[in-house]
Amino acid sequence: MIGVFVCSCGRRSADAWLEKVGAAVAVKHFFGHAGLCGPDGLRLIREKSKKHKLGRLLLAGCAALQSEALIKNAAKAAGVASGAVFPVLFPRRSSPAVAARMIRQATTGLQLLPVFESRRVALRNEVLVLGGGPAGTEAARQVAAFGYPTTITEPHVLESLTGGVGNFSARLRGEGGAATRAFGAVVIASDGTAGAASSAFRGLVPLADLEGHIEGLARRDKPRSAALILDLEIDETKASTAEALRVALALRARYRIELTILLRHVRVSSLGLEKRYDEAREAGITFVKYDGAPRIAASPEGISIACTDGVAGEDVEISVGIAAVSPHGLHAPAERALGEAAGIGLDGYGRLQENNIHLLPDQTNRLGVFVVGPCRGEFDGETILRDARAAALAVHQLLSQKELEVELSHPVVDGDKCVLCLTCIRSCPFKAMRIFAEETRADCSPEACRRCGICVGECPAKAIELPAYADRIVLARAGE
Amino acid sequence: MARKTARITALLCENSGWKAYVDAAAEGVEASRLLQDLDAVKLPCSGKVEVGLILKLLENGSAGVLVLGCPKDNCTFIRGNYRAEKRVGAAKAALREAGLDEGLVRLDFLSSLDSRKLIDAVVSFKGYIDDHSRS
Amino acid sequence: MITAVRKPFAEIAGMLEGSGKVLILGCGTCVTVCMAGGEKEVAILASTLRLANQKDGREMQIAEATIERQCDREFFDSVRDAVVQADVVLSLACGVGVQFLGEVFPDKAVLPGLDTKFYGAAVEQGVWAERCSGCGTCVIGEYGGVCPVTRCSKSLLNGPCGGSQKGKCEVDPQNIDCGWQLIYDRMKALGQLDRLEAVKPIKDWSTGRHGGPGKIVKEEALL
Repeated sequence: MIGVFVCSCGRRSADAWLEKVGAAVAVKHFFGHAGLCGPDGLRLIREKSKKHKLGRLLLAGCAALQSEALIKNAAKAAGVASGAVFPVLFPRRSSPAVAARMIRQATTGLQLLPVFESRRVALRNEVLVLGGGPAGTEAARQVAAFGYPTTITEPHVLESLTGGVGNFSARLRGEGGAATRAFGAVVIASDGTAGAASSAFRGLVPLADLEGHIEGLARRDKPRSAALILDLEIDETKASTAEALRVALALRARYRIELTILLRHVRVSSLGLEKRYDEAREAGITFVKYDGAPRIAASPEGISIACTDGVAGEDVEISVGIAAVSPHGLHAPAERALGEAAGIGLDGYGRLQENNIHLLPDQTNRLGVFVVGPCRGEFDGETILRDARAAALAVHQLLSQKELEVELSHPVVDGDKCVLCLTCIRSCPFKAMRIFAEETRADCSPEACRRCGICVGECPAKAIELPAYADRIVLARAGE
Repeated sequence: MARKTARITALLCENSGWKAYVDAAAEGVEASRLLQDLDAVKLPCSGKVEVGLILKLLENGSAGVLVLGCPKDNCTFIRGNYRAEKRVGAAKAALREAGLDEGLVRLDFLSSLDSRKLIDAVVSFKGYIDDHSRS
Repeated sequence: MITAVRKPFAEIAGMLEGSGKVLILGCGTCVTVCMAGGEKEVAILASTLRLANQKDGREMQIAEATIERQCDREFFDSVRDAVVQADVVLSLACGVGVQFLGEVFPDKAVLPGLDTKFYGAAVEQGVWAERCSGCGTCVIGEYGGVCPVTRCSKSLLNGPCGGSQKGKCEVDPQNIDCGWQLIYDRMKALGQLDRLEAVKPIKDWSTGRHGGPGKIVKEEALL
């Protein structure tokens, strides 16, 4: 039974208007009210729902009826699930004819709408932390302090991560082979700097090792000039600029070396950093802001670097005795492998967090999997610790609920039509689809699914349906 | 004989377009008037929009289909708006093949706070449809 | 699997010119996976045709159906009536399905809506590449698992030609890897390079398409 409740607030000759709408809609259970969003309105909803055993409700009126809170209250008053209450928005000053049309369209859609049951899913309290560096250990320490059994392991140990929040299945490589273990949440805190020494740039020293390297050289072998190269493959952060300035100033002061710092951007938006930059300039350190990619080659003196100076617009070539590269400016192929194993998307720089504002600061495309520190492009010590603590708090927020109530409104796959083309499994941003071998079709996990409908749109066999937005419902709402 | 006003269908993602629509509709008489020839349909994400749905709506008499989703890298479901872009592109290609104006389907991006932009988008699209109406 | 792409719309519209009742019949197997002729594509093509007909004032009734596959007779049973009622059936199956449809309904004009391309696999979502030529005598094992007949543009069996540059084939250096580079790299990794020193004789091409239309009979399966 559908009940249509129409609000007439703010209308002149409200009663006459309501009558016209009621007549045009011609629905059995039609109720008008002057202030449906208020306590009186709720009382009317409760009364009529009970009397006529209404299973679905249509609330038509102004924007006040669109609020989630109001819908929840109305559903409660009527004794139905929130999904069974459908709000209809009347533009201001709509005529009875327009109002009636909108109600009729919505009613057709509402009749087709399924009512969803819910399932309670228990959340495991074990937490997996991947990475034993500062980020990983801090995160693990904080998570454990909240009372969750925490496992730390090296990131490369992870083979695959299936399942959804509260019930992840991690396949971990071990001495006797691989073993599968269950976790409620996962924190990824890998190093992110694997690219350093393995880079194709022979003769380049990682920036962190430069001072030690020069100190180890005999006096006559010490270079007279040096270059520090940042942003080589990907743009870095201000932490890198700070490190480069520190190293440059130290080398200049100690060994009187001619120093050039090559970078795409000078990032000084941190306390004292601009002052340090000025110090470096005054100490005679040259800065070259380059466009594109520098070409690095061996030269008689040591290393030659050619690039286009972005400020002067001219090509520049320098020759130095030694060159150092900042590892944070290099791609980290290890992250790609870890991303694939964990089902986490990468951003444009190959870091483990997609470039989407809804994911900040430490979330990923998978609910229950968090990223902290260098692997998501954060290299500053302070920030890393803050990141780790924030992630620990998020884990606690999630797992302390002990169980999640999941509405079973997730996409349904028709086994007869599904041809296991794997499109939905590959397209789902949340890794909610998996191969259900027993029934030779894809299957959706309601805990991980966000009901976005992307899989429905991609499926070439029209085998997937998102129940609340099935084609017939959408077309009905569009007035077909 | 008065010309029957063309109705356009707006496919609105519930995280941006739909919220902007709700605010816009509440704004005032003028806004309501501008939105009155619109069939607004709420979808969970612009990523659910299908080529088949767009063509079906046009086939069944919709004068034009306007898809509104979240701005790039702002999609609540991370990749939905990128999928929508591809689908609308394919729908435009199908319209071209049929000898129709590909402008009958349009994709635009706005945030949930952009009720003003929603009204502008609807008005602009309506204007285009009225100028290029199929008889 | 068999891969195909939909024919250009103009060609399809031309084929259907003058037909009153059209049935577009999709296939739920290979062409669904390669997104050319499944239920979704059938609906899109049908809508596009209807929109074009609306615009040009053409009368045409277009029915849509998709069956599991069009290479086994039983699946046509569920659409028998729809086929009989149509003036013409536009099949969105691969070439096999289109012909089989014609064999099951010999009095019905059947038209192909797809161009069948090759036996291939998905190298990434949305990209399919050719891997097998159906030559009838598979020698992949002698080449480290890479097929020289398919992956080499010239189907050479005894090494690359002079057009192999930086691992690319001169036929289309942007898009085609030199098959022999792939064979070499793979066999090197497997420690089998010495096997390439054996000279392979001329291939008997008659076991494949070049010997005429093929047929396989499995004796113990005959009813």
